[in-house]
Amino acid sequence: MEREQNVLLRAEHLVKTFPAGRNKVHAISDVDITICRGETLGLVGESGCGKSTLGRLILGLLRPTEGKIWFEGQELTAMSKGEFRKVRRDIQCIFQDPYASLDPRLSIANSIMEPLTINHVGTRQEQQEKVEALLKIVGIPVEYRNRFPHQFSGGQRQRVGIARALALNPKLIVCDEPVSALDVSIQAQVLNLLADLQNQMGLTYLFISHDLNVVQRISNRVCIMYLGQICESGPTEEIFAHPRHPYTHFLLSAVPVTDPEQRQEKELISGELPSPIAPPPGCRFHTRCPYATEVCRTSVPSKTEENGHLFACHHPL
Amino acid sequence: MNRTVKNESYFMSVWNEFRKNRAAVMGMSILFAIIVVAIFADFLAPYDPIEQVYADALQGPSTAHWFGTDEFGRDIFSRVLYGARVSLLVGVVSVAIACVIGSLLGASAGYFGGGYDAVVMRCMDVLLAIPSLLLNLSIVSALGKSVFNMMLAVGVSNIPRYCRIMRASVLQIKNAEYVDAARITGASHMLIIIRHIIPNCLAPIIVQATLSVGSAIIACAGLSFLGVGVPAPTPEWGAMLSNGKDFLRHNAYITIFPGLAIMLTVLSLNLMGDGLRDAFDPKLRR
Repeated sequence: MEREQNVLLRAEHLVKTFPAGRNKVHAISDVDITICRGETLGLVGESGCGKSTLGRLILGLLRPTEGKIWFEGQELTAMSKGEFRKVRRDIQCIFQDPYASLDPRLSIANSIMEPLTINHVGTRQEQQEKVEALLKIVGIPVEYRNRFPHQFSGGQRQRVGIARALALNPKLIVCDEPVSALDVSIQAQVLNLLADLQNQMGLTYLFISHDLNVVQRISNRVCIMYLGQICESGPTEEIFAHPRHPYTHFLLSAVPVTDPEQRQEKELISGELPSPIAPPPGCRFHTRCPYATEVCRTSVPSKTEENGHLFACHHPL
Repeated sequence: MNRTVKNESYFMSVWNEFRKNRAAVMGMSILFAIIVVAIFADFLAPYDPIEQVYADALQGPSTAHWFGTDEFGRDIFSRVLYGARVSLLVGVVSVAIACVIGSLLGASAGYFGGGYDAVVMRCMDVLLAIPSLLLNLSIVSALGKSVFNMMLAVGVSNIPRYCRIMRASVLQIKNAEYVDAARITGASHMLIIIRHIIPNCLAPIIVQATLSVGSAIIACAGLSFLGVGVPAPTPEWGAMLSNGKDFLRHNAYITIFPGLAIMLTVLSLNLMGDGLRDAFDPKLRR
C-alpha cells in the first residue's frame, strides 16, 4: 500500500507505567500510532490522559515499559545509546512553555547553536550562518541574536524554540502544546509559521494539543486519547464530521461555537477522569458514558476500521 | 543588515558585564593588590617578620612600626604583609577544594537521583555529624602535617555545605524544559550538567564560597594553634589573631590589624562574588 511506504514513525503496543508507591500509574496502555511523512498528526485529549507522555516516549526522553517504536524502519527501542544518539537528531521537539524551554543564561543565538555544536555540524563559521538563517526563517531580527530570553515576548521565545528545533533539519517534530501558553492573536502567527515551515521543508508534525480548534486547523489526521489509550483516530474532517466514539462526540460538542445560529444544546460529559492508578476495567470510558452497557464494563472493545477511521467502542455512534 | 554581529561567547559576555560593575571591579582590585603584596612581601616589608627584638616588645603603632609590635617585638606590619601569603593561599585553596568537589557531588547527586543520590547524601551526613575540628585533626594526622594537608582537611570538612546547596538547586532545575531540549538534541549528561545545570545553580554557591573564605582562614588558624598546620613563627593572620587575644585589653592593635587584613580580603572576595553572581545572571544585567 502507498501509505505503508510513507510511514515515518510507527509504534506498537506501547505501554508506560510509572511507579507510585506500591501502585503503578498506567500513563500509556497499549497504544499503536503511525505517523506518515509530511503529515500533521493531531493528538488530542484532556489533561492527564497521557498525550505528553506519548510525546516523550517518541522523543526518547522516556523508555517505554513495553512495546516497540520504529523510525524509518529502524527500531528505536532496540538501539544502544550511541546508535540512538545518531537517530535522535531527526526527531526534535517544540515545547509548551516558551518561558521554561530556553536556558535563561544562554543568549538566543547560543541556544539555537547548541544542537549544532553538540552534533558537530559544520565549522564555527557555518554554525553562525545557520543560526542567522534560522532566525530569519522564524522572523526574529538577526541583530537580536545576543539578547537573552527574558528580553523577548512569549511569542518571540516560541519562535526561538522553533528555530532551535529546526537547527538539525529534523524529519519529525513533536509539538507539545506549542501554542497553548500564548495569546490567541500570537497563536495564529505561530500556527501559520508552523504550516509555512511544513510546506517549505517537508516536515512531519506530531501535534499534541487539548485545543480542538487548533487541531482541526492544522492536522491531517487526528488521534483522540482517553486515559492512556487511543479511542479513535482517522482523517481530521471525517472525525470532526462523523465522530464514532462517544467520547469524541462529547469532546466536540464541548467546543464553543461562535455563530449563535449554529449553537446547539451542549452535551457535557459528567464526572471526572478516573485515576490512571486503577483504570476502569473493560472500556475505560464506561464510567462516564451514557451508552454504556454490561459488555462495556467487562470486555475491552477491539478496534474497528472503516476507511482509515479507527475506533474502539462496543456501541459506535 | 549588520553582518558583524557575532555571537558573544558565554564567558566574554560575563566578563563584559562584570567590568561594568564598579563595586565588583573594586573588589577585584583590592584582591589583586593583596596578591601583589603577598608576592612582593620580601621587598615591601620593612622588617624581618620572624626576628624577635625584645627591647621593642608591645609598642603601639608609630612611624618606626606602623602597626606596632607584638609581645616578642616583631613588627606587625611586616607580619601582616608576609601573612598574606599563607592566609590567602589557605583561605582560597581550601574553599576551592570544598566548592569544586561539593558542587560536582551535589550536582550529580541531584541530577541522577536514586541510589547514587542516597549514597552521596548519607556520606555528607556522616561528614556533617563529625565535629569539623575533630575531622580536620584526624585528616591531617592521617595524611601527615603539611600546609597542603591542612587546606585539604578544611576543604573536606566544608564539602557538605556546597553539596547540599547544589543538590537543592539542581532538583529544581533538572526538570526544566530546556534541559529536556538539550537532551533531545543529543547532549550527554556531563554536558547538560556543566552547561545548563551548574550555571543556573551558581548564584548561591558563589555567595557561600566568597563568604566562607574568612572562616576558612580562621579554621586554619585554629589548626595551626593546635600544632598541625602552619608551624609557629611563620606569620599567618589567623594565628596572629589568636595570639593577640591575650593582649586584647591594653594592646588591641595586635589583633586589629590582622583582623582588618582578613576583613579586607573577605570584603574584596565578597564584592567580587556579588559581581560574578550578577554577571552570570542575564536577568540582573542592566
